[in-house]
Parts: sequence; structure tokens; C-alpha cells
Amino acid sequence: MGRLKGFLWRSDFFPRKLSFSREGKVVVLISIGLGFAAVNTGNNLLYMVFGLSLALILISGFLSEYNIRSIVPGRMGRLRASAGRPASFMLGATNLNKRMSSFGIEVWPLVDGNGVQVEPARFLEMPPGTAADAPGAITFSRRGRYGMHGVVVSTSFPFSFFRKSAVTACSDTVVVHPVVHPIREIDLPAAAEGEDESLPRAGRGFEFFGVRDFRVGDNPRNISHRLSAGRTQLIVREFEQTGNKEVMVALVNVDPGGPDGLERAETAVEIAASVAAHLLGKGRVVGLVSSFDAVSPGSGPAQVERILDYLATVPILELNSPGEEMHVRRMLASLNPGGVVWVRP
Amino acid sequence: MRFDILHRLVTAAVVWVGFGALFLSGEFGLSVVLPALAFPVAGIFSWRLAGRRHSGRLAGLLAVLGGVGAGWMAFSTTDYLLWAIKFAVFLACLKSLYLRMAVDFMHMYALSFLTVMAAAVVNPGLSFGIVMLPYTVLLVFGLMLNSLRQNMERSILDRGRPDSAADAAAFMGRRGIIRRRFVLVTVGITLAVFFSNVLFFLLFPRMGLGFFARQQRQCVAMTGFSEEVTLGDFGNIISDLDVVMRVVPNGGPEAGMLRLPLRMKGQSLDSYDGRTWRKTTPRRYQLDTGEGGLLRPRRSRDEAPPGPSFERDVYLEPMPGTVRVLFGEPMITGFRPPMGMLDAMRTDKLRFFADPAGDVTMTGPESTALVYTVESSPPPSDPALLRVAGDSWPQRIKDLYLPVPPQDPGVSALARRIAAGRDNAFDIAVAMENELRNGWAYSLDSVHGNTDPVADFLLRNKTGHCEYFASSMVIMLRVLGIPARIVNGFYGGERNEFGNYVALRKSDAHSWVEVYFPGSGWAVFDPTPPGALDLRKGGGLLAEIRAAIDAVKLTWYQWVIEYDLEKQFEMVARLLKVKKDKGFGDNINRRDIRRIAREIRNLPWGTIFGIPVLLFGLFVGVRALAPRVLKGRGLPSAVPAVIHYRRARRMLHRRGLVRAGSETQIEFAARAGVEFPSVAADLELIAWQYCAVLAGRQPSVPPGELDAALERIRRALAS
Repeated sequence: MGRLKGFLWRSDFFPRKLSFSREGKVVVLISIGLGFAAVNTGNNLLYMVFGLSLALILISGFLSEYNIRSIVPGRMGRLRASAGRPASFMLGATNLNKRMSSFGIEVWPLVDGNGVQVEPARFLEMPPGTAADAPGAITFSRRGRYGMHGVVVSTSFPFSFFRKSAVTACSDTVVVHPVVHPIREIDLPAAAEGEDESLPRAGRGFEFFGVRDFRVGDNPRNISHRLSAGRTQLIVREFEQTGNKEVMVALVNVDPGGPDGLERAETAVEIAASVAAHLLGKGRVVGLVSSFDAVSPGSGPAQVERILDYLATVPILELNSPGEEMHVRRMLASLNPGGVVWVRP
Repeated sequence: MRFDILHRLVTAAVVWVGFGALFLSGEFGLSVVLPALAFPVAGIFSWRLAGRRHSGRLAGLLAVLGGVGAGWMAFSTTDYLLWAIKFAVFLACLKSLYLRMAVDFMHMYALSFLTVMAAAVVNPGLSFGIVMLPYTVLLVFGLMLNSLRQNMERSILDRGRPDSAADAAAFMGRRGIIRRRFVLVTVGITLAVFFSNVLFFLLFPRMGLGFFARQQRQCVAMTGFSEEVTLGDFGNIISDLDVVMRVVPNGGPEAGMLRLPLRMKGQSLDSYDGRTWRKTTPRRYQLDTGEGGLLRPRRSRDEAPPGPSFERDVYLEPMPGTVRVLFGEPMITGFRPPMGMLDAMRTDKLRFFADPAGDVTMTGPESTALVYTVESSPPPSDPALLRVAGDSWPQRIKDLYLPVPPQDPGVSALARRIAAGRDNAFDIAVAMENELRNGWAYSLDSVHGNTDPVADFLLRNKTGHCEYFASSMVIMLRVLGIPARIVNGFYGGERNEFGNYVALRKSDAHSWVEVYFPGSGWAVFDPTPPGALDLRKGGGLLAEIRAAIDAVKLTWYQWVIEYDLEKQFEMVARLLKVKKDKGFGDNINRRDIRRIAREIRNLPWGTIFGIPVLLFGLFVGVRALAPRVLKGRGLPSAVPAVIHYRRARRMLHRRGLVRAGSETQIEFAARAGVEFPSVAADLELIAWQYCAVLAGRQPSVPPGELDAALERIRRALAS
């Protein structure tokens, strides 16, 4: 049913979507009862009251159409959202009608998926030919990548019997980050503590690290012409990386089993995100390794975004075997970080 | 006015008008009406009660107690409908004190709608129709205000902030939310709802077959038209101005106007016991449809064949009782009953009966009006013929119309004194008629004893109304051995210029005398002083207003209360010019249906259905194919507004102005307008037109104007 509803909302074939309010359902039920009573009794005054209820429903349909057809929604900026927390957005709308106001307009992004609660941007009245912005909020119950298929313009005006909506198509995705909890302090491994020093790998430092063959994209200034001439191919010099000691957050993203296994795994993802954000906030160089993939170390707000983006979509693996953790360890060994913070479900 | 106060006032008005439709039925006493009208007004000011602690529980408890009480009363009185309505009124009154949120107002409208539904059952009068228009206006306005209130509540209360309730209160207290534009929208919506309602009402097919009940109307209370009439009964109704029947010549107003006064015979009575007249005529028989759809009562062989006939269409108001008397001008020779095409299917069929006295009655559905055509011939009135009629009355006539109870000797003496010197029944009857007209006075207030009211009227009191005049003449004629009978009916009428008919009111109820003449039949005599009948009539502006109201009432009854499948066919027949308006409407018969069907067959159905089907097919095809055809192309680039917008955007781009991703086209145009104020209006115009195309609408500005705007922008940017 939910899939069918989602399909109907995305379908262009039905340009308008209708949903009855509780009051609307009552009115329709009363109308059906009235019609039945009128036909059975032949009471023309009941036909008249029946006609009134049908006229209210019909006119409600026409007017709601007139109310929204001239409303053009504005573009929506990039949405930054964390699971379980309302993410605010501003949405604009323009009333192209030059004569009539539109009343009771609601605008919200059409996002796929279950557990998405939207508090629309509401416009009580949009005078003719005006544009306005209003705040709204959207809450995703789970982290992940959600498809956004358009912006919905909706109204229940004039009688609130039903809600008529129109979708202006656009294609986008919303990445919902895991929740980042505030962390006071983390006990880092001793190897991860310390001042700036040369790190034992190639980078942008000043100390010589080694030579290797030239690859496309290498800085031409690092070419060693003497060695290149001797070997008849381009050789470049490498330098040691200088900076903070790296900390890798090692996430074992597997379902440990049991009734709350998945929940524990999700909590682990949130903790990993919180740890990474905390360390990056302290100015550390942080990377992340999971059983699935890795985010290379980095620092600053961009690195927070990269890690959170990665954690938004990192899958929870079903097998809880020691091999998964070994896989993480192997990846860590290849990276040789200064310190590792393990996060297990 | 503050939004909240306005909304509460409108809601109270909706409830009031709904109650009005109910209470105008007259079914409810002041003990119900006064509190019911007071509560909604109190609710405007006492809504703070709803916010009090435990107030909701108290309201729920009261509602339960009210429901139990109403249920108990309903079962003990078996008047379920009335107590159900009273309970709905009680709930509406209770709810009116607890109006806080939009949902409470919606409950109030639902309860009000229920009261209007109840009114539709108990109040079929014109008052319901008069109330419906303001009710529609107020309901539409109230629902729209409630929609706004709901939006306000959602936008403020949904945020879940601790101060949101205070925000809501502040918003409800704002003035100027309802502006002129909103009122105009409301008026437009109300008109649309009203006309849609009229269309639904007219076009919704009437099945004409109620499984449970039929449309009924309130009856006109009448006395004096049953088979047993106590002398003096007419005095009770003669002072009443309710219309009982409306008469037009068959063929409608085009057939000319009726001459007044109009005499409509109802029922003749034969037996008198000194206080009460009775019909003892034996063997009532059912009438069968004859030639031309007419029901013809049998005529006695010793009556002369009827002369040239004339027809009248009669609209007879509903009267109480299962057996109803049909009225017609004497001498009635036939009836054309309202046998429509649906009558064969009805369980409560109309059946018509006649008796040897020539009176026609019917049985059928109660509390419904009846439209029929009556054919009459002038009664025998040629003095020369009636003088020589002789005294060879048939035995059955003598048996029925000569017996008299023991009389005061004075009555017999008076009869003989009047008849002295006259040798035939006609002259005696005429002399008696003149004597009574001139020697006795008409009065509605006279009181006669119970022992022998006729003797009291003739010998002592000498004042009375038509029943006393007619009874006295019949008794005196019978004393003299002349067969006579009293006839109850209507006499008089007033022309209604608004509806082109003659209306007969209760006040026109009248008794007169028929005397039998062998070989001719029953001749009419009226001993009541003619001038006295004019005393009943009103006049002046009041009569005009009364006539106008009656014409509106008739239209209401005919086109609303009695609107059925046949009326719908009649409407179609008139639209297709198959039938003309004849009087109070003409029944649709099979021949008419065939003609309607032929006319409908001849309509250009290919065009009527073909074009919408073609358009729908095109719509579906375009909707299905357009996304594939236009895939990747974006907006149709051939549309002028799109071309102009894109060119303007390129020009601005060359001047370093680029639209930000979060900016709408109109915002971008406004920003560009700040940079280039001389063409701000042109930029905005082009952006608006582009947005219109974006929204799937046609540009409202001709391309030439857009060309000119673009040219101005080009020049401004080039300089």
C-alpha cells in the first residue's frame, strides 16, 4: 500500500493528489447517508440538503484546484539533516495569479522513505502576484540516503474536507547523517597523543622520504632530473607527511545478533560519528575504517562532512564473524595510524 | 473585528439559522426553542469555560445524561424522531459552550447540519426554503473561517513550543485578517455552492419509489367534508385564511380566466337527525378510466344528458384522512386523475370512488397534494324546464332525500307559508331561497341550541351562517315533499395575479342546496345572503401580500416538495418543447415519453459524446507521451516567454549576474533590477511570464510586448 501511495505521489500521470481529512471523511459519510435517506424516502428536502453537501464537496474540489494552480514553489537549498532530529528548511512560493489570493498553502519537499515526518512551510494567505518564504522542518527517523522527487504545493482550503496537492518535479537526494551526541572526553591511545612531527608516509612535508616513478598528476617540480636521465624515465622525489598524529575510528559495522542487534549496530554508528566529530572539533586528523570501506584521514569541517556522509550510508553487515574485525585490523595496519578508537556494537 | 470573535459570531449564526429551520416547523415548544436560541449566543462569550479543568469531562457527562434521558423519553413515548432531534439540539447547545479549537467548530457545524437534516423531515413548509439560503451563506463563510483557523493552529501549535498557545491566542485576537478580498471570495463560493445545489437538486434522478416512506406535507385541517357533519362545524373554519385549493381552466392561463365567484362542490349529505347531517348513500363503487382518461361517475337514467362541458385543473392541498373528497364545479361529469407513468409501480395507488349521489372520493397516499382535472357541465337552471318537471320523483330519490326528523310546528308552518300560492317545486325553491336571503341575517357568531338548531335559526334567532341557511331550506323543502339535499363545498375564491389561478381558502367553505327535478337532475339553490360572503374577504395591501406568498408557496410545493421523476420528465419535455405548461402541470404519459425519446434520439449525440471522448483521449495520450517526447528537453523552447527569459539571462550573465541555485527566477529578476533599475520592470515581467510557463500556464502577455521588453533590456545592458 505504501509503495502504491509512493508511486502515485511520484507519478506524473496524476497531476493532483487527494487525501481526505477526518472531517472530509465524515462529510462524505454523511452525504452517502443523506443520499440513501433521500432516495428511500423520496423527501425532496433531504435531496436539497444532500445537494448542499455534494455542492460543498464539488466546489471544494474546484476551489482547492484554483487555490494551488498558480502557486510556484521556490527552489530548495541543500538539506542538512540528522536522524531523529528536525532539520529546518526555508521554502519559497510565488503566487502567479494576478487577481486572487491563495489561502492556506503548504509547501514541503517530497522525500521517499518511511519514517519521514514533514512539517510544511505554511502560507496563511498569498496575495496575488507576491512571493514569500516560510520555514518548515523535516525529521528522518533513520540515517541514510533519501530520494527527493519534488516539491509539493498543497492546500485544504476552502473547507478542510480534503487536501489537494500538486508536485513540482525535481530530482535530488538528501543524506541524513547519524545523530552526533556530545562527548566530553575520549581516552586516546598514547601513540595518538603528541605534537606535530613527521609521519612515516609520503605527503606534503619537507623531509625526504623516497623516490618512485612519475605518475600523471605529480608535481613536475618534484621530478629528479638526475635520476630520470640515468634511468631514461621520469623519477619523482617523495617527502614525508608532517602534521598531527592521525586517529582512526575503527567501526565494526556488523549486526552482533540478538533481538537488539541491529539497534546496537546503529548505536555504534552514532558513537563512531560522535567520536569522529569530537576529535575533528579538537583539531585532530581523523579517518574512519569500517568493515565495508574507509575514509582517509583528514581534518576540518569538510572531513566531518565526509565522515558523516560515509556513516549516513554505511551498511550494517549481517555476519558477525571475527573475520570482519580482522578485516578492519588489516585495513588499519595498511594505514598505520597514530591511534585507533574502536567502536563495536 | 477580531478573527476569533468574527468566527464565533458566524458559527452562532449558523447554529441559529439551522435551529430556525427546525423550530419554524412548529413542532417544538418554547421550553426547547428559547434555551436552544440562547445557548449559541452564550457560547460567544463563555468559551473560556472550555479551557477550565475537568470541563471536558463535565460536558461528556452531561452529553451521556442527555442521551440516556432522551433515549428513555423516546422509548416511553415511542416518538423516536422527535427525541432524537431534541437530543441533537441539546448536543449542539452543549457544544456551543465548548468551542475552542477548529475541530470543536467543525463538530458544531456537523451538529448544525444534523439539525437541518432533521428540519428537512419535520418542516416541509416554505420556511425551510427561506432559511436554506442564509444557511448556505453562513455555513460556507463559517467553514472557510474554520479552515483558516485550522491552518493557524497547525502553523503555530504544531511547532510544539511552550509559548505556542500564547502565540495562537495572539493570532486569534488579530484584527484585519478577513479583508475585502476574502469576503469577495466567500460571496463567489457561496454563489457557486448555491447554484451547484440547485443543479444537483434538479438533475439528481428521482427514483419515485421510497422503500420506507414517501414525501409528505402538513395537512390543511378541515371539518365539514366527511360523511358525518354536525351542524355548525363550518363556523370553525370559515374564519381561517389557509388556501385549500387552487383552480385554473384546463389548458392553463392561456385558456382564459375563471369567472368569480367559483362554486366547487364537495360532498352532498342526505340524512338529517335534527343535529347532524350524514351520507347514507349505498354502494360506493370504484371508477375505471374511460374515454380520454376520464373517470365518469354513473348517471341516473332519469337525469337529462349533460350539456356542453368545461374542464378545470385543480391543485388540492393535502387534507387529513384516508378518504378524501374531490371537488369540482357542479354538475361534475368526469375526473381525469393524476395517473402518471409511475403510478402503476406504486404500492399506495390512488383509487377513485363514486356513489349514486354523484360525489367522488379517493383513497391513496395521505398528506400529499393532488392535482387533477375535473370536467363539469352546467347544472339544470332553465326555469321553464324546471317548472314543468313535475313531481314524479324516482323512489330511490324519495327514499333518500325526503325523510325529516320530527319538526317544530313553526318550521312546517313557515314552509307552507312560503310555498303558498306556488304550484311547482321550482317556484317554491326560488321563493324559499329569496325569503331566506332577505329575511334572515348572516353571522358567524350566532349560537343555536343543541335540541333543534334549525327551528332556533328559523323561528327565534334568525341569524346564522351558510349551514343554517342551507339546512333550513332543505328541511322546509322536505317538509313540503320536495327532495332536496345539502351540499358542502367552496364558494367564492380570489384571483391570484402572481400565480394566474383562483385560490379558494378555508374561509370560502360553504353549504348550499340542491333540489331534484325529474328528468333534469339536481339544480343548485343558495339561500345564504350573497353579500354576506363578501364579509369574509380581505383586501388591500395585505391581500396582495397574501396572494404573493401563496404563489411562492405553490411554486415551492410544486417544484421542490412534489418534485419527482415525472416533474423531471416534464422539465425535459418543456426544454425539448414536447409539451406546454398546462395549468398545474400535465402528467407525462407514454406518448410524451415516446416523443421525448424521439427528440433525444435526434440530438447530435455523435458531437455531444464524440468531442469529449476525443478530448479525453488526446489528454490521456499527451499526458502519457509528453514525458517521453520531451525527455531531456526541459521546457518547450518554442514558447516565447522561455526564449525571452533565456536571452535575458544570457545578457545578464555577460554582465556578471548569475542566478544562484537557491534563488527563484523572480528573485533573480528583482536582484538584477536593483543593478539595472531602468529595466527592473521588464526583467520582472519576463521572469513572471517564464514562471507562468514553468507552472504549466500560458503567458498572459503577448509576445510583442515581451520582444519590446527584451529590446529595452538589451539596450540598457549594452550601455
